[in-house]
Parts: sequence; C-alpha cells; structure tokens
Amino acid sequence: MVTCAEPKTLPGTRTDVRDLEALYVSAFPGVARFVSRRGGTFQDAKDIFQDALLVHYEKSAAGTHEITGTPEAYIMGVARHLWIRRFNRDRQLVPLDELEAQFTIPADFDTPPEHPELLGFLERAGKKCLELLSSFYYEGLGMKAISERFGYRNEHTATVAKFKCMEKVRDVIKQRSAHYEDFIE
Amino acid sequence: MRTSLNELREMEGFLSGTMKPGETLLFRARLLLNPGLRRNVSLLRRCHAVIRWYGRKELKEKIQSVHNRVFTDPSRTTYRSSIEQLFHKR
Repeated sequence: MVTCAEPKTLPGTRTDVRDLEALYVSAFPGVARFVSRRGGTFQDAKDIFQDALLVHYEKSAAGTHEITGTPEAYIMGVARHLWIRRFNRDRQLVPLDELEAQFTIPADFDTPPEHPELLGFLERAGKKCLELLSSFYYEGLGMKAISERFGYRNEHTATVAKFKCMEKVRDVIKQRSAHYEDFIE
Repeated sequence: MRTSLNELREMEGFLSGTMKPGETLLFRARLLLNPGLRRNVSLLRRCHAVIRWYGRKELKEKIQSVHNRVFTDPSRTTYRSSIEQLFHKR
C-alpha cells in the first residue's frame, strides 16, 4: 500500500494560503463594485469572484495564462465574462466574443462530475493518493516539488508512488464502474 | 486483468503528449487494433477528470476558508464595511 506524508503548504506554490489571502483582499473590491453597479447581491459578487480566482489559479498551474496585466485585472476580466454568461446581462455593452477571446473559462468549468458519489467514495478509500495525484494533475507541480511536499526521498520514489496511486484510483473507479453502465465505453 | 505499471506509464505519456512522435504513431495503431487498450485509455481519461474535480473541490474549500477569515478578522473591519456598503446603498 502506498502511503504519503501529510502535505505541507509550500511558499510559492499556487495554493499557498498567504498568497491567496493577499490576492483575495486586493482583487475582491473591484469585482464587488462591478457586481453591485449591475444590481447583483453580495452573494453574487462572492460567487463570481471566487470562481474567477479559481480560473486564475488553474490557468497559472496549467501554464496557459493569457495574463498581460496584473492578476487583479485578469480576475476582473474573468469575473465580467462569468457575469455575462450567468446572468445574460450587459451583452450589448461588452461583446461576449471579445471577453471569451481574452479571458477563456476552462471547458469543464460548469460541468458537474459524471458521478459525484464516486469522488466521495475515492476520498474515503484513498484520500492521500488523491492529494498526491491532484498536486500533479491539478496543481501542476513537478515531481521535485511533490517529493518535497510529501516527504519522498527523491523524484524517482515520488514518481513510482504517483503511478501506484494512479493504479489504486483506477482500480477503485473500475470496480465502482460496475454500478454505472455507461462508465466504460 | 490488472494493467502493468509500464502500460500505465505508456498511456500517461500518450495522453499528456510527452510520448515521442514515432511511438505516438505506433500507439495510435495499437489503439485501433486493441479494444482492451482503448478501454484502459478511456478509463485513465476518466481518472484524470475525477482527480481534477477533486483538486478543484479542495481549492474551492480553501478559497471559502480565506473568505471566512477575511470577513471575520477584526483587523479588517474597515475593508469589510467598505464592501458591504456597496450592497446596502440600494
């Protein structure tokens, strides 16, 4: 069985809480003003802003950022895009095509997981493995950073652990897929 | 049957685009001929999707906890009220 040490949040990684909090404080007022001027509620502003922040971090991780200005300006652009998409307002003021070209939203962003209960099952069966795999496939960390975060001796050991974790997750998904007829093509 | 780690490594290389062009061509040909390999690649794609959903869910929770901290921290009263005022004017 593959085990992983408790992950530590490393300074400089994209989910570092201090960076996240600083960006939250500096970028939220602009989005709140935007939403408030368009008749939205505090909850609308919070939802739109948090999703825009998520897009910003995902793009940074994937190395596909279209950012040309500050992170705050980028988050504002994504928030405007999300606002128009969700509330179908202001289309006449800002063409959606223009926003889509500049501030693209990940294709699977508003798509719910095919089988949400599967994720819960995987968390119970192997949360540590999910954390290790997520640091690679979602956070986009390299094997060196992963070996440091999870306490592996070197990158090779971390890579072997990653493959074993993927085997474990895949086996669980395969077993559970018996419950979902459409799961395997 | 349990797929070996080597096959898993190979499929990862194919899906991530890090496989060499010649090997990719060969792998594509094997995919056409081997339904078992097609099923395994499809399963691995779904694993990636589930892992991404897990990562996104964790980050959403982290962002929400940052929000809770910012909006309850006594040292941020002025910041908080300046934002709340935006929604009280109407």
